[in-house]
Amino acid sequence: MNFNERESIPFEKSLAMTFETIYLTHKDSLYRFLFRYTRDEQLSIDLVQDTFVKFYKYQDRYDVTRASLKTYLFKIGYQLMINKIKRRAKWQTLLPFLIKKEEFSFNDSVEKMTIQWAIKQLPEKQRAVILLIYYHDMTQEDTANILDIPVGTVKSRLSTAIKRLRDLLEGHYDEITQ
Amino acid sequence: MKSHNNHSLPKELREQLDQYTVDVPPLSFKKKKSDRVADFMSAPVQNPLDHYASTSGLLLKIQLVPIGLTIGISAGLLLFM
Repeated sequence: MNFNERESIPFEKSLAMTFETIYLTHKDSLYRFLFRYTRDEQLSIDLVQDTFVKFYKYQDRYDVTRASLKTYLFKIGYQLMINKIKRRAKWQTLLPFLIKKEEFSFNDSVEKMTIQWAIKQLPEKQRAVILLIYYHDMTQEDTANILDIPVGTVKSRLSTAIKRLRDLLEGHYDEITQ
Repeated sequence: MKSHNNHSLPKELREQLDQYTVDVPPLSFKKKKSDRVADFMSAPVQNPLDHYASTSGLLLKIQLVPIGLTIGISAGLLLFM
C-alpha cells in the first residue's frame, strides 16, 4: 500500500495536513538522534530539514508494509548524515582548521558530560546502534533496516557497544576516584 | 528519556544513559539557502595557528626569524657591495 493511498479526503489538502502532522510528530526525535550522533546543533537542524524535504519529494516511494514511518524517516536522516559527515571529513583533511570546536554546556552535570563523552568514544557503527535501540525504542529489525545491515550484525554491534560503554564509564569513574 | 521495551542493557548503564537529555531548538521546516550559507560563514572554527601557538617552538621561531633575516640581509649586502 502506498503512503498516498491511505487518505480518502482531497489529495492536496490531506497531504498537507498529513505532512504537517508527520513533521510535528517526528522532528524532535529525529533531531535528538542526529544531535547525539554528531554533537553538532547546526548540522542536526539542517539534516532534519533535509530529511523532511527528501521525504516530501519522494514520499511515493514509501511503502507502509515494509517499515514504519519513523523507521523510514530515520533511515533517510541517517543516510544524509553519513554522506554529510564523509564530505566534511574530506574538507577537513584539506583544511584542518575548519574543524568546529566542541561546545559543552556549563549547565550540564558531570554524569551527563561523562555519558556524552563515552558515547562519542564509541566507533560510529556501534554508536548508531546504541542510540537507535536505547533512545528511540527501535527494535533490532528496525535498526537493521535503518543502518542497512543484517539483524545479526546489529546484535553483535549492540553487545560490543554495551561492553565498551561499561568499560569506558568504569574506567572514567576509577580515574576520578583515584 | 527511557526506552521502555529495551531491557537488553544493564540497569546501571540505562541509568547513566538516561542522564543524556537533549534540548531541541526551534526547528522550522525549510530554511533558505542563503541562511545556510550565513550559518556556515558565521560558525566558529579553530584558529589555524592555535595548535602551533601552544608549542614553545613556534614562539622561539617567531622571535628568531627577524634576527635571522636581518643577519641574512646584512651578510648579503656585505658580500655584494
